[in-house]
Amino acid sequence: MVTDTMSSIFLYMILFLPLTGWLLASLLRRTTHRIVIWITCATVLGSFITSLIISPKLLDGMVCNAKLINWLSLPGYRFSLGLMADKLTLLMMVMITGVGFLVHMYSIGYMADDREKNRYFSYLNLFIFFMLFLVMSDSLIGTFIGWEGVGLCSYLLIGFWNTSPANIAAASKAFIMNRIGDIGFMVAMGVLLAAISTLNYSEIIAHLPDLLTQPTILFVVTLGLIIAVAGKSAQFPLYTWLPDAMAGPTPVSALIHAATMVTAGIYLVSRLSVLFYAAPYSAINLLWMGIATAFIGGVAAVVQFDLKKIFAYSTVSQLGLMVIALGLGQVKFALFHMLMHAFFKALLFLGSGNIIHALHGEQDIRNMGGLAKSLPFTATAMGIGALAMMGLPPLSGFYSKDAILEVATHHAGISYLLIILSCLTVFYLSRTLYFVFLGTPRMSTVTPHEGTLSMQIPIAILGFLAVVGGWITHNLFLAPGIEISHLQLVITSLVIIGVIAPMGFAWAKRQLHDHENSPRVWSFFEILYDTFAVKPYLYLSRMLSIHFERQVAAAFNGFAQIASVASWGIVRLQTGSIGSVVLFMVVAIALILLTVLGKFI
Amino acid sequence: MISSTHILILSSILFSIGLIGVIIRRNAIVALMCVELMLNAGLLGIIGSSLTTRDPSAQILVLFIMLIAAAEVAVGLAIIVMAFQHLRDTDLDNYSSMKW
Repeated sequence: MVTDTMSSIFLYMILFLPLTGWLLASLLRRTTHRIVIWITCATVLGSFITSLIISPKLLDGMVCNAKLINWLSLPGYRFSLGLMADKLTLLMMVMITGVGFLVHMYSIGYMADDREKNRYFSYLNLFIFFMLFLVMSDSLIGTFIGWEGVGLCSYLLIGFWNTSPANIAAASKAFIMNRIGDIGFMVAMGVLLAAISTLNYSEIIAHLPDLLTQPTILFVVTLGLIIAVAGKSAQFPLYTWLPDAMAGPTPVSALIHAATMVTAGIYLVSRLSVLFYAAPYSAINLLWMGIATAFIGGVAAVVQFDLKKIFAYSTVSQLGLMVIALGLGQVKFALFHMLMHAFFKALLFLGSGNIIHALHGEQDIRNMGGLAKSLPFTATAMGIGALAMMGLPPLSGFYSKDAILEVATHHAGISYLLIILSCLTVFYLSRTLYFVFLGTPRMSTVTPHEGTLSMQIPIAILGFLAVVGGWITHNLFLAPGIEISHLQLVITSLVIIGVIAPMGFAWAKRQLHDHENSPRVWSFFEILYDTFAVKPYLYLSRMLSIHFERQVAAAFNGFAQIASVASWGIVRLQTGSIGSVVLFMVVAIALILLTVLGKFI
Repeated sequence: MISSTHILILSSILFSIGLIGVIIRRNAIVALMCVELMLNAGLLGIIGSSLTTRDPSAQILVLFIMLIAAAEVAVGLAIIVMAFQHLRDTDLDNYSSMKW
């Protein structure tokens, strides 16, 4: 534990620069767009550079601390908020601010025609602040504040185009599904507080021997946290909000719903991994939750026709893969895949943003086709992103995915499941690429053109990282003790891609030929929630309103009648203008206070 | 160092801003927000004075009041939504048809 002033100042800078950006952007929201865009981009870039400056220290294994405030002190409990940074935090900070800056830059071009750019950029900065607070807090309570904050920003940004009721519904859905997960988080915090009266990470881990004697408590805490993870990281059975969250602007989907916010759950499990591996059943719960999620996401991505929803389900599936790695006890591999996924999925989302921008909002891949000719830059970038995600050696996805596959070979059944999952990934990606970039153009009248330079630079940087990112960073994640039998995995990946990709192309060709409609089979869980939660609630409300409310209302109307008869005469004083009513009230209160105080004087 | 006096001064400034807002702003939602500001200024006052008395129960009291205030906002917003559906307007002056 080191608390030297210099590193605390760096930590404050990393955290509070985006907050400053949000404050300034909100205060200056009536000024020109140019100022707001400069402020918001510069603060996030500053945050990114500061996290790079502090990185050598943290990579050496130092843990930096910084005090914030003593939030609430009660006898027996003390809730203090503070900052803590170690290697895990560094990884998250660099990823959040790095991808965050690229998305800010991309948004300059993408949102160029939007009238409410200032609101958009200020929300983005607020999101970055809360996300950083989530990962930099030294206690569960601070993480929870960030957890709620990113949920709020996600809600605001999904519903950013708030004139369409569908967007508002998607935003509300994301918020409500997340609240279900939050209940798990709160239960976990409550139980932990009752058991060891602290929520500080290092103190929780120090109390582990006490907790080990109470396996039930440990089980309840980790189960609550797993529910929280299922909500935030879009795991089975709470994943249904993520595909709908695509209603927001595409850069938001890249930043919040692919690279950063949805990885908060992975962060939480990694932070408290000793708790999860010590608790009974928790690792196995994570493993099965991940497997269910990965397969539902992968299969759903195969049948979608909406470009962004394909990538949303693909994100669900990849998050499932990370949770599988966590369930297998490999925190480092999960984090490695999280970082690689941030690169190639942000790349794919920004690329699809380019396409949607070029086609003026068209998202149905049946109305695309042949775009490789008119958008060569985007096509190359997305091709790289897709290949990296398929796991083509030596691109980024190969290292992280095959590290997980390698571990799974010790669990026979799971390694077969993962190979099937890889096949699914290759299948839906090649299908999508065929629909979008190959074949004959099926657009109506638009001539697609590439976006501005500010949209191309982030894509180029992410493309570069998707190619070499795995090669550069794999030494940080894969401990030298673990041998990865490269040759075997290289051959496996090549065979999978070589065999499955043509099948994906063929499937796409057949679907185009048959003019199929989007099947609704995979919305099974949506139907389930609708039947067992939404409809009963609405029915109950309607019944209460018909049978119960009238009686209550009648009773109150009776009181109101009495009052209105009794107050006849005085009631004329009320002019109906709120201002004058409040003025009367204030004057009266002041008079009362004066008389009361006058007795004492 | 921040003493309880400073917090009380801040609290009264916030209260006055909220009060003036309720009196002069015509938008029902803004008025509701100003009412909330007044309520929270009051809560800040409680916290401020608890610094001198060193009584932790004030902090718990404030948490409970915030909980109730959240429920109260839901009712307030519901009233505004209903009034908006009736009158297609959030201007408080046009709500005067609701007097006696």
